Amino acid sequence: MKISLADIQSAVHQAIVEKSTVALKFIAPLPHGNALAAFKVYQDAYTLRLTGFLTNDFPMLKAYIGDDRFDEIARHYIHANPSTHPNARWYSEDFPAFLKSSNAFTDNGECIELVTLEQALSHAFDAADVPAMTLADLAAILPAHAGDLQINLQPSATVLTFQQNTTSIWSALKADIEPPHPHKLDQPQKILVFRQVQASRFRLLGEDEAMALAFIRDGVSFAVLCEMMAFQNDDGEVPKRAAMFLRIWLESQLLMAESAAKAVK
Amino acid sequence: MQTPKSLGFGLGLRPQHYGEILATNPAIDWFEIISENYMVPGGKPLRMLDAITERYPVVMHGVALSIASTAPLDMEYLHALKQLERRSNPKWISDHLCWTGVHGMSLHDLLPVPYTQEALKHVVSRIGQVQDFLGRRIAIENVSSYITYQQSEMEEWDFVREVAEQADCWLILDVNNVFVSGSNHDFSTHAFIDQIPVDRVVQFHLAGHSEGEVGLIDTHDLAVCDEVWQLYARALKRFGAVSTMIERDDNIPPLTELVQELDIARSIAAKTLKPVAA
Repeated sequence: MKISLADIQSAVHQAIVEKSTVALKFIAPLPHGNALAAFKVYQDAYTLRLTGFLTNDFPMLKAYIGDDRFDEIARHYIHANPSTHPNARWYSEDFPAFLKSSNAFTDNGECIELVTLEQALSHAFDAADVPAMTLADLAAILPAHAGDLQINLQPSATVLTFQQNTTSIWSALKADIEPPHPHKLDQPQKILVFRQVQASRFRLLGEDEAMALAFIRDGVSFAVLCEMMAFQNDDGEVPKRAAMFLRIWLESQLLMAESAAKAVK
Repeated sequence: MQTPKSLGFGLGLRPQHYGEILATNPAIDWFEIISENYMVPGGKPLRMLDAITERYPVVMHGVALSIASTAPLDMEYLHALKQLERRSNPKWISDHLCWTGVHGMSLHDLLPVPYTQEALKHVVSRIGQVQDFLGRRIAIENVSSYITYQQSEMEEWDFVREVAEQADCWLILDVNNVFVSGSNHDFSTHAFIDQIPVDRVVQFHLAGHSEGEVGLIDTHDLAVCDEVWQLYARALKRFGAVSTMIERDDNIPPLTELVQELDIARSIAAKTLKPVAA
């Protein structure tokens, strides 16, 4: 019976993923060496390559938990999550969710937060390019229309909420020094992850700014932002604080220019 | 059929070298980009690509087209490839004569094809579809292999030649891959090169490899070895001045080291292609 190309590819694919010998009947003898050992090159490369993708995307987790444990967790992930995207860039997308649903870090919440932070930084790094609003854009708006100014966050910006001292652990790992002991924070911490000058970065947020960023996540006018902030805490300083945030966000290239353009119109 | 003019001597563009390339404008004639590295929404990779394409010719080289797979062509991937083509204006677009997975999954590896009439017909048809979609010829590269199939009905070089002729596509001759596969499967590397049609080859790849337990492995983590340089000289004699580049994907050295390695290629080409005195 003639063996089809599809049959061969299906068996080889299965044998690589499952590390089985199901495709060996299709492999020709080698002039020197044995075919089983040669086929194992592909089987080993599969795990090594996918583990490499995860290492590339989560270097801090690897540094934190060590090579052996990371590789073990990677093996479980690879087994449960065959790659379905042709581009390696997206292979690790489900890794944080996988860790949350597994029992790998039941008592180590900081590890889940660490991969969440690393993934947000990766997303910020190559998120879509949208021109950033500048002070000049703002200056082009007539004072009478300032309240109409629409403010939207760049697609690269996101706000995370952490329960543990994960950012301190990340910073220590980044500096290649001993990370602090993990512990739960008295209050959850809000972290802004964003891109500035082509580099992804993060900073901690105060309660006020975190709230303001939550309001503008889906886009609001400056006037509405002030109203919402006043509703939360009307201490008479709302316009001043809102203007201060606006200045910080402009300097951090956090806002989209198209929002300002709408206000000019 | 007009084979594209040689671009000279190039390197694979790697993020480690972005800063130095843009700061020093090194004497590199052109760059090859890994297509998938720039099939992202935005950010630094695309900004760097834009800056490089302003100064140097580029070609696009993919690893995920999976042209020989029996799975349907990934149209989402092809649309992204076309979008990148519009952005980078490459001299040509290439990928490998291989398959990377079936059943909606990717193994992220360049798996060899059984050299059968069925596979030939399949690959030729798929290249035709891709070329129609992109509106241009693509270039297809021979891969390194560690296995061959019981079902193969012809030699690899016959398969490569027939693919190129029947699909009317270009070829990348990866000299290192010829050497690695020749060593692993005990075939004549000279016979391989001598059977590849001269007017189809638009580019040479050079790279380093490693010795594994069962043969040579195409690792791209070392300098080009002497045997591959010799084979390169042989290829130059047959194909003439063809765009040549060095691939380095692991253990990546400083740019100056790669530029020096590229000078070896220049030197070999200068000697090999020297006009014969009357």
